[in-house]
Amino acid sequence: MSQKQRVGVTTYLFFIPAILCVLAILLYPVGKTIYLSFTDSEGLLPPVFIGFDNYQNFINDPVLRATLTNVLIWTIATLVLPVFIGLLIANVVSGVKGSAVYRMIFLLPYVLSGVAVGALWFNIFETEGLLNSFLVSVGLESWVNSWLLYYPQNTLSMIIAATWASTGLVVVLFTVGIQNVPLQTVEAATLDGANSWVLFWKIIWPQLKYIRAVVIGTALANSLRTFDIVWVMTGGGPSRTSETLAVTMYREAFLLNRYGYGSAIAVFLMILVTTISILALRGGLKKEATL
Amino acid sequence: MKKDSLLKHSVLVILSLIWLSPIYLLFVNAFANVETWESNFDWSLKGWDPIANFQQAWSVADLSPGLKSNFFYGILGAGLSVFFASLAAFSIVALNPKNKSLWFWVIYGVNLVPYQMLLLPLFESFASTGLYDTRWGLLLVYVAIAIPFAFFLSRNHMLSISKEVVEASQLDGANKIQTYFKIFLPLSWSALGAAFLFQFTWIWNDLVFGLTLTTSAEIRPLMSTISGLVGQYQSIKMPIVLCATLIASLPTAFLYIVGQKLFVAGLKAGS
Repeated sequence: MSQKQRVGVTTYLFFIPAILCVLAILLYPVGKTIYLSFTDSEGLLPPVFIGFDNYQNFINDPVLRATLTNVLIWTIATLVLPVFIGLLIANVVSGVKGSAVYRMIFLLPYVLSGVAVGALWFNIFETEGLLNSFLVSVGLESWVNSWLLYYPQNTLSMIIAATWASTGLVVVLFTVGIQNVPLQTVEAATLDGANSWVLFWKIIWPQLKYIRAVVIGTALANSLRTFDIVWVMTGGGPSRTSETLAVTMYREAFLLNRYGYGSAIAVFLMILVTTISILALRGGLKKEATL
Repeated sequence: MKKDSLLKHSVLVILSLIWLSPIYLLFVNAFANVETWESNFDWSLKGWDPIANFQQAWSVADLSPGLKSNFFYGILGAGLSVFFASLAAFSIVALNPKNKSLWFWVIYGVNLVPYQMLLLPLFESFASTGLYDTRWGLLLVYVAIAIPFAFFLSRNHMLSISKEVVEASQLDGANKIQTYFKIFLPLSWSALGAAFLFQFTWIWNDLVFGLTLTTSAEIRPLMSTISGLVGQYQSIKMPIVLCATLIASLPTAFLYIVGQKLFVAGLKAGS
């Protein structure tokens, strides 16, 4: 009761800096992009409303299917690889001697930027690069391949690079989740003779529900908007074969100045990311409902 | 039990080796002698010349302005966003405002929006307001984008601060600002530190906003400068490019090694 009476104007003043930034830099542009997506804007002349034409053109783009397939491959692969490997490592590493060192090793690539990761793996996968000359040196000439020049191996190569870079954070997040499992429960199960396998599935896995939703939600959103690694390693090429929606949008809007069309791609991407994130986060967000 | 841990260690050692070999390749090739370097695979070092490469990367790639800008963006951007986010989180958790969920979603919801939605309008409005290619303009963008996740982390942590502590301080006659600075700020230190680390790293590594909203070498953040080097092998050799990426990664690597405990503690309290 007394709490309620004390709610005054000052309570809301604490929101002002955050709300102002979010409104000006995030919400206003979102509205503007939605508006631009229905216009023919190319930057110079005032935009003219053209209805759904941009969306129509987007759907009729002959490369769209390949781009969407790439997005799908990225999404499934980044859902399966870093999350699965990260969970495996987090589970194996907990309680092992030297766990901090192991965790550090997997987290190392995470501190490298997408640009650094791209530059390094470009050097590895390039046709004249380290992987091919390694294959030659161990007598596997027949495996030598132009990794970044053909579809879909260029996308798959870049996914390996992304997996290497992003698994470390998944390890840390799951480790935190595992450490939050009450110790008594684990000890009781061990006394009952549960081995690591049973321990994991019966005790730990159910307790990871919340953190799992966070990890999967973040991994999904990040993979759907993959940009840095692709931009550095292939630029989306050759002939747009390794483009993701984020790269297509950037190229259309900023290299070809097709603002309206680029906006339509961004809107499509946003709808895709929000829908999938909400579906994935639903389990974890239940906790938020009780604010 | 013994057998179990042997198996665990073998799995970990194998995975660690897989994870470390690209790092090893990064070092070997970044420090290789530029004159004799060819992209042939070799586990051994090919003419070890780290200092010369560092110097070349520094001067040829012109890293010093980008590095300076990045410290400006990273420290101020992460610091301000975490501060603003924690103010909002404090109000939502401790001051009982009306429409809590609405406030929460207005600030946090945009976290789900892909950056591509922001690029064009920001580019246009920056061009028309003179913010384009300025330090303060880009900083503003970083602060705003870093707020939602910092808000999420600090709010989660502040929920664990007990109501009694807040009420006791109010009975002592502390006003809201004092409650924030004397109770919530000190008690949320680890979560706010973790949020700072996260957002500093994100800002430090940003590519797309730097590419879109800046153009001059003085203003451009580091990754946007370096990404331009990767394509031009004729003029700049690969070891120099790799060396540049290595220099660019030193600050974040250092932060994580120093702050790992803080990072884990902050996340733990927030989960």
